[in-house]
Amino acid sequence: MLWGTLLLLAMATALAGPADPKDYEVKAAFLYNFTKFVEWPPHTFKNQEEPVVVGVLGAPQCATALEQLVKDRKVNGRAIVVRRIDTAEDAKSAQLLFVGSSEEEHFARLLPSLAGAPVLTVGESQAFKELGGAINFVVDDSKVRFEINALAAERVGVKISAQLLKLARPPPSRGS
Amino acid sequence: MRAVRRGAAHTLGLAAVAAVLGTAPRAGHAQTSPASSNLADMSMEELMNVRVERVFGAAKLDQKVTQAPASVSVVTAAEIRKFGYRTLADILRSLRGIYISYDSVYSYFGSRGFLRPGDYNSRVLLLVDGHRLNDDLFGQAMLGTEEVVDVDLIERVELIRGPGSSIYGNNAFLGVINVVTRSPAAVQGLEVSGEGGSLGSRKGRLTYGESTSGGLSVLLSGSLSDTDGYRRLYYPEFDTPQTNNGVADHSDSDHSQSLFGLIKYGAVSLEAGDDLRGKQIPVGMYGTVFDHPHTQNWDSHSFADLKYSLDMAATQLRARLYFDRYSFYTNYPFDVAPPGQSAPPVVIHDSDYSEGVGAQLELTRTVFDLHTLLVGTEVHDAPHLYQSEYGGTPWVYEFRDDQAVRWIGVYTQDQLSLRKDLLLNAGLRYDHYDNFGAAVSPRVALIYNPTTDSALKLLYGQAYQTPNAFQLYFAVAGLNANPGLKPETIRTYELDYEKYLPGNTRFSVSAYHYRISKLIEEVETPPGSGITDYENIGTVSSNGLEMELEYKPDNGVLARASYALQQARDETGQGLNNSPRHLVKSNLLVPLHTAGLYAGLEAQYTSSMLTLQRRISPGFLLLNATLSSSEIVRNLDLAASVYNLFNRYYTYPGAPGVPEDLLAQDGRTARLKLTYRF
Repeated sequence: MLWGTLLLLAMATALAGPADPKDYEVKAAFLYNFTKFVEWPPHTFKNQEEPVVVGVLGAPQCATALEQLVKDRKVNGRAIVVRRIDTAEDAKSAQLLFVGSSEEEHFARLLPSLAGAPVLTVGESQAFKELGGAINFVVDDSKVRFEINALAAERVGVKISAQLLKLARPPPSRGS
Repeated sequence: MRAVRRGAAHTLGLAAVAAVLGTAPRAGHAQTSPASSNLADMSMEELMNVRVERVFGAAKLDQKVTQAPASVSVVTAAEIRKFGYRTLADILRSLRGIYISYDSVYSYFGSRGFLRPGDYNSRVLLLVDGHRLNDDLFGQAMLGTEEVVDVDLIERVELIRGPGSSIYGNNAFLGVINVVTRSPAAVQGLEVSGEGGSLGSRKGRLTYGESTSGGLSVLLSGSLSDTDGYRRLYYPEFDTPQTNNGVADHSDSDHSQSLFGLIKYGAVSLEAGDDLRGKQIPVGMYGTVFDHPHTQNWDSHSFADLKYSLDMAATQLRARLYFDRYSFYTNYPFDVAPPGQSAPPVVIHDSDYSEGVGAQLELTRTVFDLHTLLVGTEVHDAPHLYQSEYGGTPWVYEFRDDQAVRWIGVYTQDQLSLRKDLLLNAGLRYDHYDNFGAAVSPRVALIYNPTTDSALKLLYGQAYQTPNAFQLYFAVAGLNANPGLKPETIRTYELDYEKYLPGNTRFSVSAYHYRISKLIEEVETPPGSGITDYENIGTVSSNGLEMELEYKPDNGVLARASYALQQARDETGQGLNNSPRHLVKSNLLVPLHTAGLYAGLEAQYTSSMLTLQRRISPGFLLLNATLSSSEIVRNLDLAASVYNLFNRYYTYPGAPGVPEDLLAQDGRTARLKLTYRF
């Protein structure tokens, strides 16, 4: 049994093809896309020139991938700026906040100061979901999916377009 | 008459196995592949079809495992379900370097080549959500059907190998088992579960969990379980006409019931549990009448734990108030008829209980982004350590005593980033017991990342285990108390290396050296008197090597194999009994791509062990298989398991006080389990 398992592992490693993109790279691409399908309440931006700020809490690799990705790209005519978040002030300045998977406790501490601010929160863990995050990434069968908690988004005045809602994964059957 | 007591005389020889520390690579610098700009051009639908490679060190759990100053193994609820684990003992048996012995009453934890059956199982600390389950009287970790919390309530089990007293204090000798229970949000509804299997085993459970948007969450669960056991068990040591030719009839039944509840509101939570377990004892121990259906042990626990946690800017505060009650009751019929005559057996009872309350305060603070400092204190008062033994007609007390103990512990740990690739973790705990004084437990770990996907750890730690109330205070004819007993100590040195290979594969190897001193053993005092007591006289020294390979892509496949080589010797240089030289484990989980079916296969090889009488208990290979599905019927979980698939006959060395030097273990058994969610 032991030898069979080791042989299987060796074969799997040998047969592995060219490297697939990392999950944080695909998540960065999704974050960029989310900004296209979301409407923030009026007066969120002072003027047409103000950029969309995507805050990243933790997840340094995702932040770097996102920075590369949004260079020279615009969404609805606005530039996109990536900001690595540490304090509550930083978090409030973002329109979209991505919470890395080891940062749930930090996020929990920031939540009270985010109350009422129109920040779309995106995460990648069960703990983040339980904290009331709006969009949660889940990797299923090696593919990145996301679940949407529309109520959470509504609560902060952010509207998620029907196109995005359609692509979201329905809540999983309990116990999986 | 020899004292009737729980736990047998100690076996000679101890094995200590150092745990291997696992390490995880730190998240390295991001590497944007040429594909990332292509990703930006893809539509959402296209993005959803891109296959990704899993990155280790990113998940909180992986990071917890890799940055911990210890080797940590984690088993999740999904694995518990898919491998058909029935108890904590089953879960632990699958882990690298761990072996669990069973004496037809309790399951005993063996790690790093060290296991002493019948010895209270107090050298491993068992926690449920941070609450110590080792009782105040005997310090036992309950791992089999005697466990306090139902295995279906487990979200995950973490085994933190090695000395853990620098944070946890007493009993964290060979390791710490932390059971994390499922959150009410994870249950969210009503769950009904039923099981049926071989040996007349059946179990029913009802669990309700709810998490409201207002911040209140509740979980309530109750379960009832019964096994008839083997209707006929044969013991060659009793093969005489007077003792039913060695056959114990209908003497192996097991009954357990448990309740568990959790209420959480904001930062406050209250958790409580209660369990009762009764087991018939077929082995004819301590001179009890063989094949008597009334030879039984009953164990009962109750606990409550009130927690408060506060998260501020760079500080976290945890405060706890807790209560525990443990009671133990036995029914042992003894044959006192003079030879040649017959007389009804005299029934002797042990009735013991302990009660304890405690409070704990813990503060964690990040200072200058360099240090993560943890400071804590715990006070504990056990006003009752009550032991009694009585029986006969008329009733007479052979022993009756009530003691108390109070202890206080202060501990601290600092995790310091010396360099970007070098982490130092140092901890110290000082405990003071009002009966035997102080225990000091230091621990130091150096974690180095030579590359972003590999880590090297160097560890030194000390832990202790206190003598229990029986060893300290119990006295009957032939056995003296020894209130002057001191705690046992263990010192470990470990070196670990872990590397992440491409293709979602993790490899780890570790080497360790242990030394246990002041080991408590039963000795004749003075020699030749025929009277014994417990003394701190044993020493064990042990060396070992462990390795593990795990392949876990995101498609549901899991393939894991581990090997442990260990050698433990006592003070005379003799190899310990109950210590297998080799342990090989392997787990394979394969999704079958229809109806969410999973096949879970386990193979475990334990090499031969020496028994108390220095005979050989042969090595054995066991295979377990489980077929499970969550999708055949919506909201229904089905699992069919077969344990010891090839019906291998195997034995474990017996404990002192038990006539059997080799104890036969279970043959092939099967189980069918259904869980339905409303």
